[in-house]
Parts: sequence; structure tokens; C-alpha cells
Amino acid sequence: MTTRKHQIVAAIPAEGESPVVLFDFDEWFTLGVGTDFSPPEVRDSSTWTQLEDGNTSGASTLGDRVIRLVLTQFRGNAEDQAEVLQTLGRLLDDSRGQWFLWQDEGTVHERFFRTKRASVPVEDHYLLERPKRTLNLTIPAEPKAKGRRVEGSVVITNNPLAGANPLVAELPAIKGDVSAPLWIEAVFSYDAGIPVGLGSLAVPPGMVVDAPFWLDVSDMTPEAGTGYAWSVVSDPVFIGGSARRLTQDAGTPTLTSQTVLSSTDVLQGIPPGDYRVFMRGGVKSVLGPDPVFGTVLRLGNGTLTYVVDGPTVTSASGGSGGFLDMAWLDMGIVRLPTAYPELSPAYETIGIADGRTDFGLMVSDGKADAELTIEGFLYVPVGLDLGIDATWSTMTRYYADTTIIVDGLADQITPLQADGNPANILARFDGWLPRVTPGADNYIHTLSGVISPFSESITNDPITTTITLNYAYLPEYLYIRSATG
Amino acid sequence: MRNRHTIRLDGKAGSLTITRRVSDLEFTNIENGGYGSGSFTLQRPISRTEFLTYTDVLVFDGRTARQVAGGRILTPGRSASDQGEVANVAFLGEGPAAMGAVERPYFLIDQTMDHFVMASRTTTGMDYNTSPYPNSSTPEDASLLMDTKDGATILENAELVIVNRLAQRCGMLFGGIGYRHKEGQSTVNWRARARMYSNDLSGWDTVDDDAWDTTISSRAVRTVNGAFTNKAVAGFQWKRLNSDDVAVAGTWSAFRDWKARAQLYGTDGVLRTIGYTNEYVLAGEAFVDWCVRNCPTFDMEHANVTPGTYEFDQLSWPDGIDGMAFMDELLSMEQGLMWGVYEKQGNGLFRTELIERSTQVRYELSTRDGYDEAAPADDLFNVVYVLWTSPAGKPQMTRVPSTGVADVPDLDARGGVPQSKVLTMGDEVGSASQATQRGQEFLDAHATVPNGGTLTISGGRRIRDNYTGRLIAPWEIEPGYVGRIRGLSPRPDTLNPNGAPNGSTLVRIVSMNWSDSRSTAQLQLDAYPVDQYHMIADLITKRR
Repeated sequence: MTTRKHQIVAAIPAEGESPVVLFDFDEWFTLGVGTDFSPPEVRDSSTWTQLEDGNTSGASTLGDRVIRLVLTQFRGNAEDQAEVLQTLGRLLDDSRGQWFLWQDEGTVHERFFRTKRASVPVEDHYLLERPKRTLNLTIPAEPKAKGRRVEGSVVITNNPLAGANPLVAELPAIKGDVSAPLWIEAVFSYDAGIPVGLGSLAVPPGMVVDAPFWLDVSDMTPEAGTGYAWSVVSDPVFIGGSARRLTQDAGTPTLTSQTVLSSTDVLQGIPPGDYRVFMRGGVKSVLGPDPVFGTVLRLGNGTLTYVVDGPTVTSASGGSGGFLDMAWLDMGIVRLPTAYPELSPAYETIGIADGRTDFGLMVSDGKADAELTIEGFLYVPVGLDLGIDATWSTMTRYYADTTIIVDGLADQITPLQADGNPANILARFDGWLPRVTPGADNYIHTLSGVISPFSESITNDPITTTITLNYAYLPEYLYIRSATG
Repeated sequence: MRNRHTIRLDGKAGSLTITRRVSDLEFTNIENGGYGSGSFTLQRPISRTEFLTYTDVLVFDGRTARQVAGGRILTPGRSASDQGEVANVAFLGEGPAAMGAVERPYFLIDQTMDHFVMASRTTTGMDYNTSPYPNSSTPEDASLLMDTKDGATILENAELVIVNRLAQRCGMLFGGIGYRHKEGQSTVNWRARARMYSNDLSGWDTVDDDAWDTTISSRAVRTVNGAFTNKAVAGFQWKRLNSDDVAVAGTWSAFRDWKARAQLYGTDGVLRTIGYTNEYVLAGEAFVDWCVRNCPTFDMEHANVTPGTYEFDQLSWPDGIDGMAFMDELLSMEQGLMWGVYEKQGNGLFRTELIERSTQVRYELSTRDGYDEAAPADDLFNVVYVLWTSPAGKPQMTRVPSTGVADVPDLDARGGVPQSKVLTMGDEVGSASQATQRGQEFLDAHATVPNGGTLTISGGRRIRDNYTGRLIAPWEIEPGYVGRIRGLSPRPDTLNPNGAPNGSTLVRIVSMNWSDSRSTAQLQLDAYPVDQYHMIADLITKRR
């Protein structure tokens, strides 16, 4: 018996279930020569000049797929055929499209194409002794075929040094041919309603990237300066049990802008590319909710040349004497290593051993007696230049919602209220939602309390919190599918 | 790879990411204004209304989650045709939109005399006009003159009041006033008084009460810090005390060298009470005041504002000005500065800055993807005639330089052939120093042949950013900075790392236009800053 299948089905069934078949081509026809499921063509938007060889590709996307079915040996009597043609016409004429199941001879998995409205051209051979009909269908479809839904669940801890999945979780091998959007139900153990960050990483074979990278403040050098002093504070609320605290001298009204913390080459070997840097820190001020410290990152090859503006750190509102609330402060985007030679994009995965990562923190405008407590810095890969396919998005939580639905297929995030009903508002987010990429090591990483520049105040984000990610995706295929892929 | 821009709408009802339904995204960022304008086509049933006018559009670089463009939706044009139901959406950056949206009477510092009118007098024997006082040694030296008819009897307590309602007309308050006065006789029975009035003139703060003196007074500078509070009407009163008087030739009094400053807002959003003893305004405080008053969506509290150095002594538009024209006027005399409004921040406000235009090379560019230079040599000038109007309303001309020609290398090489231009400073009154400044800034900007060209960069390129050390995508290029173009033959001095635009390999990027459908960025190079307003006006009116 053949395992070849050509069917229109009601939906992509869950794993282990059979699809509801709306029309089975193999029941009524034999598919002839010319039937074609070729992958779609790439549309490349490239430029070229007489100044150099080759084209420069600006962007490329896949065009729509065209499925061709050559249907011969129409079975049944005239009434049967009329009924079949009517059914087929109704299905293919539906402007919403259909799911088309294709499974090739000798393979164990089917693919599902999302087709678009198509016509049903029929050729009647009147002059033959026994009249017959053939159909040559040309059905447009979305470029990528889908497989059955794959599900999983991971729990990520908000601490780079503790838990099975410290800030990041590796996903099991991803199925499919090309990267696919994720659908995620994120359940928070802590419902402070603060913005969260969510990213995905796809590390290609041959690269080992232990990202995101954590630089503990204990590995950095506190710089002596005027108007402040450093101390070490130990408390289990801090990552690794301790942090460094900068206390501004009493009577010093404002701090002059100066580099207070530096590190030399601690992140050596980091893959070259862009990183979003988060400072794990908090402030305390006797003055209450005023802006307390202006922060700036300085990077460079020993000389700390490059400057990236960080946020003005504001203490929590309310408490007299200020709270000490720790959170992930978004410091902006930097490129590391800082003294890395400029390579053409194709070769950026080649590591260079002595790329330096000198790095410093500069603060200014502190208030007298104010404290800035720092646990360390987190480097989140962003962008494609790393050779890693990375996404990052920061999203706002409107309520003290413990669950949000991150729907990468529809590009939207829906908070759920306490009773499980969706909130009547879509959450705001910056950037791209997470994806998974087959043929690579896939990671999801989260930050549960992200403070972007000039947010009103820091809301506490304890290291004991967890985020449970119940994820699902539909693997996406270009053509044929193996037993494991 | 595909272009990884993501597009979000922020409206009253929440946020919606519409990336997958958008085509033909295009945006332009500009040197003065920041995020400039943009447009896209949205495949969408036209009955849906989530993209209302003034909804915020935010365009992110999806790779880094960094905002790269945005603005307010101005024209959600909708159509249903053989292309389906689509919305052609145009948006204008928050900076140009908020600045251009507000037109109002406005002043910062003013020394004109025609805002003074006679408010009251008790006798026709006292009269007021703006003319030189008797025996003035300076010709055409108009002053605020109270004169009397010879032989007229002036009764005890007779008075004449003139008032200046400029601040009231602009919906503002006075922050400080300055003047001198001189009389035809010395007597304590005649008084020359400076007063700040309530709008109906029923109440006032007496600022000065001086006896008449034939010697010109030292300059009085009075401010809201002590002399008066919350006043939008300034006035002078001449008053006879103690006895009747019969007017003679010396019965006159003149106030002169008038200057008034508006009370300004600081970055904290509160009216400043100090800083008005300077009888000039800097570009930074002017920018802050305008934005705090008129642009509530700008984050002025955290704005990066450079004070500027040029001391403006005349900035006044009682007949109204809009924010774009205001910044254009301001920066035409302070061309070392540029302003912009950028990302929507965590607090819901937009990042705003007025910063010095850097002369350091920031971007390393190449001509590989296309370069088109139209170098107009007839835009070189070595002489400029500035036409302006004196505080008394008289036409004036200032030639810059006052003699000879300015140093313009290409014209000097031809023996210093003159190329000159007339600049008319508009209906508003100028001052001699501002006329010179305006002329000099114009000459500085027209001393080298501008490239005035267009540089095309493919979306596949990565560009070295010498400020951040990053390799950036073309759409991340920030206009206003200097780029070095490799692939052009350099002049001998142009390969050093630092340098102002020289019309050859170092160019200032005036605007960056990104088109997703073409996957290319087009950089406009080296246009004159003073032309920015007109370019933006073109962008606003341009329909795709």
C-alpha cells in the first residue's frame, strides 16, 4: 500500500491524531507526471555596481509557492465525478484557503500547505471512445509548509548563577527546515506588573555560545575617585550572595561624571557582535523618588573610547529613605569586542583570540548619601552580525498579570487576567518576538524586570522569581520531511 | 535575510504590532528634527479604525529592539480598489510634528519701541512719541520721549503712562526689563517711574521711582527675582509732584535702550525666577522654553540641551511663529547646534536633544552602491548684505564683512572675485550684532562647495560607527553627523580623522531615507542647515 497522500484536511491535527479529511485526491485520481511541490523562489533585492564584483544583497524573502497537481484517471461514473468536482470547487474557491496535506512515497511524516483561492480547470476529452476528464490544478500557497505542532515547557530562574535554567533555557532539537515563530504562554511567579524581556538565540553548528553572558561585579575593578566610596555588601538577595555598593559622600551635592568601575578583558572570547547590556542594580536615596544617578557605559581598547548612554537611575517612589530595589537596567546596545577588526559579514563567526573587551561604568549627578548597588552586568546578544540568529523584545505588563500569551504567529502579546480571561488590551512590546531555528542550538532567555531608560521608578525584581514558558510551534518546511526532522 | 523592521502602533486603546501587514515601509530621519517622516501601506479592511490620526507609529530594528524611526499618523488615507482594501499611512516624526503644530505669538527678548503705546494722560500738555530727544548727539537715536508744550501749565499730580503689552500679547510674562533714562532738567518734583502692571492696569509693582536728571542714568536691569512678580504689561509713568509747573524747553524725559526678556520655563517645567540679569538669551534656554510651553510630549526633564554661545538680543514674533520656523531662525544664527526628537521612552515621552554639531568623523561610507554629486559652485559667497530693521523701526543694512571679501578659497584662487547675496531678516526687528552674526554664519556655511549629493547604501552593508564602535545597518545612520566617503579622490587635508565638512571626502549627512521595498538607504549630503525648514515643509506636503 502506498503511503503517498494528497488531501485537503480541516486543520493540522495534534500529534498522534488523524486529520479530518475533506477531500482525498488519491481516492478519485491518479496523480500524473508534472505534479510539483517545488519550494518557492527567493526574491532577492540586491544592488550591483561597476565598482566591484558581485551583488550586494539588501534583503531577500520567499515568494508564494505554486502547487501543481496533474490529476488523471478520474474514477467513478458521471454522477460520482460531478459530485467530486463540486466538492473540489467549493473547497478551492474558498477565499480563506485550505490546508493541503502532502506525504510522499516512503516517508512517515506529512506536511501541511496553506493554500489560497484557486480555480479548477477541467479538460473534457469528448472525442474519445470512452470520454474522460483530466484536471491540471495550479494552487497558490504560502511559501512554507507546516508540520504538526511541537510543544514543550521550561522554567527559567531570574538568577544567572542558580537553577537548572539560569536566565536561559536550551530547547530540544527543533524540527523543520526554516525558522518558525513561537507561541508562548509565560507564567510568572511574581506579579509586579513590571516590563519583561524575552529573547531567543539560534546558535549554528560549530559555535559554542554560552549566552547571555554574565559579568559579576566581583570580577570587576572598583575605581577610586572623588566624592564616593565603594564597599562590598553581602546579602542573600544578591546574585552570588554579594554586591558592590557605591556610596556618595555626605555633603557632596552632585557627583562629577567619572568612571567608577572597570574591567579588562574579562569577557575574552565573546563572539563579536552587538549586545544589549543590562546592569543588575538598584539605588537608595534619602531624597526619595528623584533621579539619583546618571549612568553611561564606556567601552574601548584600554582607553574606554566608546560611550553608550545608559538610563538615569531613579529610586523607587514612596518610602522615606528609599527602598533598595534591584532590577535589570537597560543600558543600551554595545559592540564587543571593542577592539575587533572590521570583518565582512560573511566571516564574522571567525573568532579572534585577542579581541579585547575593556569596559567601564561612568556615573554622574548623584545625590548626597545616595547609594548605587551593583550585582553585575548581563550581555544579551542582539542582531545578526554574531552569526547567531537572535531576537530580543521588551514588553510592558499593564496589570499584575501572572500569565501572558506571546503569540509570535500573530505578532501580539495578550495579558491574561486573574480569572484566565484575556485582558481587553494588547501588551506593548519593542522588537521581535522569539523564534526557533532548526539545525541550530536554540535557547530562550528571559529577564523578569527590565527598566528601560527614564522609566518612572525601579520596581523590585527578586532573584528568586521564575518564569515558566509553555511553548509551541509549527515546524516549517520547504519541501520534503525526514522521519526525525 | 528579510528586512527586520517591526512596526507598532500606540493608540489610546493600546498597542498593536502590524509588521506582517505592512508593505513599502519608508522613513526619513533628518538633521534638525530627528525622526522626520515616513509612510507605509497597510493591507487591512478599511472599516477597521485602530490607526486613527495622531496614533503613534514606532519602527524598530527587530534585531536589536532599538527604535529607529517613528511619528504620528497624519494621513491614514484609505482606499478600496483592484489592489484590495489598503490604507496608505503617512506619519511625521514627533519632533517636526509637535514643533510645526504650534503657531503662536512668542517672544524671548525684545528691544523694539513700537510695542509702547500711551495708556493714559491727565493733560494734553504732556505728549508721547518715539523720536530723538532734544540735542541728542546721536542722529536717528529714537527713544521713548515724553515731551511738553512750551508754556503749558502742568498741574500737580499730572501724569502720562505708556505701556508695553508684548508679553500679554504673547500669552507670556516678563522676566526682566532694562533701560536708561535722561531728562532736560534735574528736579525731584518730576518723576520717571518704571512699573510692571496687571493686565487691566489697576495694580502694579513699582520697579523704579527716579527723580529727573540731566545726566543719563546708569542702566537699570530689573527682574522677576525681587522687582516684580507675574506681570505681562510693562510701563513707564512720568509724574509731576508737589507743585504745579509751567512747561519750558527742558521739560522732557526720555527712556532709551529698552530691552525686555520673557520669563522662561526651565527643563523642570517650572518658570525660572533667576537668570534674567543677562540681557541676552542663549539658544538652549530658548529651545527649552518653547518645548516646555508647546510640546508636552517631549521629555524635557531628561533632555540633553547644550546652552549655546551666541547671545541673542532680539527674538520676538508678536505676529506669531511656528516651532519649525522658530528653530530655523534660532539655528541660522547658531549653526553649530542641531536638534532632534527621537525614541519614545519608558515614561511615554520622547527623547529630545539640542546638541553641538560634531565635526568628528562618525561614519565610514563608500561610493560602492551609488553616489550622485551635484556640486553647485554658484552657491559660494564671500559677501552678504543683511537687511534688518532697527528698534525704532528704521530700515538698516549690515554688510558682512564690512569691507573687502570673506576668505573663500575657491574664490580667492580667482583673485577674490565677489559673489554676494542679500539676506532679508523678515518683518521682525533685528539688531546690528544679530545681523552680523546671521551674515557671518551664512558665509561660514557657504565657504566651500557643498556636495549637495546623494549617497546610496545597500541594506546589506554594515557601516562603521566611530562613536559607538558598532557596525551598524544603514537605517541606523543618524543625520547631522560627519561621514567620510571612501572612493572619492581626497584633498590633501581630508584624510585626517578630525575635521569639518570640506566638500570633498568629509560630508555632513543631512537626511537618511530608508526604503524597505528597495532595501537601500539614501543619504542627502551637505545641504545648508538654514534650508532645513523648507526641506521639512516639502516632506510634510509630499504625498506618495
